[in-house]
Amino acid sequence: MKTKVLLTSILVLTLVALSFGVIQAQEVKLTLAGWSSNPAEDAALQAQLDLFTAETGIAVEFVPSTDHVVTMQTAFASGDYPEVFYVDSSKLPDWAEAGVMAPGDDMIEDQAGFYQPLLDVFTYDGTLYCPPKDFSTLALQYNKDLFDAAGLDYPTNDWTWDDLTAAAAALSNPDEGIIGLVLPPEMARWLPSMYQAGGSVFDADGNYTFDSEETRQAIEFYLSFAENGSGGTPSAVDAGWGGEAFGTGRAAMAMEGNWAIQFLLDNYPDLNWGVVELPAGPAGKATMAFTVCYGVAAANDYPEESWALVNFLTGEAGAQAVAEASFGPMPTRSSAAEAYLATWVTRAEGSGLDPADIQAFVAGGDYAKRWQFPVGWQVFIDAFNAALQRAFNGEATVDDVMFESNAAAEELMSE
Amino acid sequence: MTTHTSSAAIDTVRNRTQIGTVVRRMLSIVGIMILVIFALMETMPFVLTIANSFKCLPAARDASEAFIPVAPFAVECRNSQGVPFSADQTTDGVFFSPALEGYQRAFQFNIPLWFVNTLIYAIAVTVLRVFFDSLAGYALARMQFAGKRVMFFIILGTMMIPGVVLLIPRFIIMRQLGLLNTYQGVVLALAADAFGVFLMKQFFESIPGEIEEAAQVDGANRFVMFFRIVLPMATPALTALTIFSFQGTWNNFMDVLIIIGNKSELWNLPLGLAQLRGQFGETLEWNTFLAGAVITTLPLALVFFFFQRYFVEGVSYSGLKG
Repeated sequence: MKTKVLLTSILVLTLVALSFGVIQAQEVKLTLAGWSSNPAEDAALQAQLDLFTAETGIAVEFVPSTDHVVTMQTAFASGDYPEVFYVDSSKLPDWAEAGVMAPGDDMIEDQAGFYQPLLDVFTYDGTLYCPPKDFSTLALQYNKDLFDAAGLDYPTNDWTWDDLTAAAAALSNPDEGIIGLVLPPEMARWLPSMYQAGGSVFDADGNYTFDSEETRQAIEFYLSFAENGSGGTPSAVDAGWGGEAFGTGRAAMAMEGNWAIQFLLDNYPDLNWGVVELPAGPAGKATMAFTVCYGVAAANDYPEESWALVNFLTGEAGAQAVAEASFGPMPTRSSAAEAYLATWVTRAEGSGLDPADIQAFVAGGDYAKRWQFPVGWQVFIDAFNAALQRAFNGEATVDDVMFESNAAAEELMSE
Repeated sequence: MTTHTSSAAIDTVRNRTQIGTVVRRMLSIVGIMILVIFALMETMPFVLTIANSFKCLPAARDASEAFIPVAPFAVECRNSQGVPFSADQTTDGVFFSPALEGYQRAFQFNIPLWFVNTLIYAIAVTVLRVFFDSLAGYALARMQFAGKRVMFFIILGTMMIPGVVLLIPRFIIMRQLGLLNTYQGVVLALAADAFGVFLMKQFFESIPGEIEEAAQVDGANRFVMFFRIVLPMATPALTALTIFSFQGTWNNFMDVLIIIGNKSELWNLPLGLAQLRGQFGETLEWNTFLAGAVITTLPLALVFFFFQRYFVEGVSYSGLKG
């Protein structure tokens, strides 16, 4: 009898619990959708949002997602999506094309203060859509102990491809399983080489220009390390990605971005390392900018409030907040660069990294290229990556990589 | 002469039996060793998960195989300036000093709330499933009505469809009902399942009809018969269903992601765990992530430990695992 009463009450309670949540409060409240980086950075963002609410009286809720792109695309499909959301540079063409983002030309304040390359990234078809939130660039990390052991001078910002090739060859030590340079077989890490060689995927008018001598030269350069054994993929040294390969000391140099800094400080405190800008190629310096902006929804009940929030977060004070709280990505206004570097002075204290070296990432902001392709061009990236991967295994040649990428591109252009 | 031969024969026989014993003993030792190897293969991942969740980051990176905790316990992972200690200060490759950094960091996320949510989903779904599945199973097993066979085959048919096919229709239906990002959206979507109906129907059919006829003679109606007589007799099947539902809902990731992916205060532990992994998975903090995994697994592991007998019975009864 008792069990029966218990079971019935559990059932009733369940049904009551189900009927809750139907009543929801109606108030002016913005939703900001993005992803969470780590608790400290989330707390800093929340502090900014609280400040915004205190100044304007507009409530904002930050909603992090585990898979932002998938979450947003299902929300777009449902027609009911957050007022403000993170937009990764690689997704801008798709989302601008889909008409889910409100144009920001006339709404974004103080545009002159941003790094110009970053504004270009978020300009699509001549329209600036959203102000950049923060950004990361690629730079060259080097292991000081391994350089000392090989009797080599440390890299400098004036290095060229030849210096990199020579150092990688001198640093690699097959007996101890050490490679000179770790090279992920991915377009996102190879593209700087292409720009350094003077190549491009599209010209200013949007014509396809990938099939060039410069591009071929860049692929040859990238593969040359694997061919002579002075470099290899992360998995060749039992690592999941370049930062890990570098951290374990089995790769003497790596070309990773800002996200590697805190990772290396936290996980490999004994590592003695430095950072310089990526070596220049035949056509000079180049790096990649991986960046995110705050997009404002096109279907939006509160457009003015949304833009006020976005301007607040990316304005002068917002950039300072990013500089002080960020564990990797840099503020998008050059005025906050000094504050960003100062943050690392305290964070890197007692570690094997000279915080002044982080300037190499900041310097990339001036000549970084965008990580962005037209709608649907993921197919092209996938074709290139697959061919490059096989080339690293010795199963394909530079010709194969060129041929398969061009074939994928031609198919995309004929559609 | 004769004694000599016979004693030689006895010797051979004795030798033979001795060889037999040795061979048999050898075989059993080999057998045990094979079992030990497989047991280690099953348990080591779990041991390493727990061990690494208690390590400092550098130690988890450098000596992920160290699994024996030694004093000092609950060590600090960083000095007063926040610089992490190097790996060899907390581990020597086999032994390690446990630290709580992973758990502290995991609890900076919303783990207590996600835990409560997981409990709510698991209990609500289990209660509703046991209730609806046994009612439906009973009706299909005992009652006569038009379209009964068709209905049963439709229910069975839903089991044949791969789950992923249903994700988008389910999302659209939930949106039209306005149940996205709500507790009840998750619970309603999972409140009844074909497998449970099938399981209960099969079990009810194995209960002799005479018992119910006797109850009917005594004046019991359908509901009295069901709740007082048939249901108590179905305890083994109900236990199996309860365990499967609870375990399945506790670990459910996909359905919950589809229905409440946008609202972190409604997440369950599996969704939260995906959050601990970090956005791109590259800067994954192993101790934090594994601490989250331990927190997610432990309650279920305890349930399994205490109800082991029923688990095994349930599996053998239903002929299904998981």
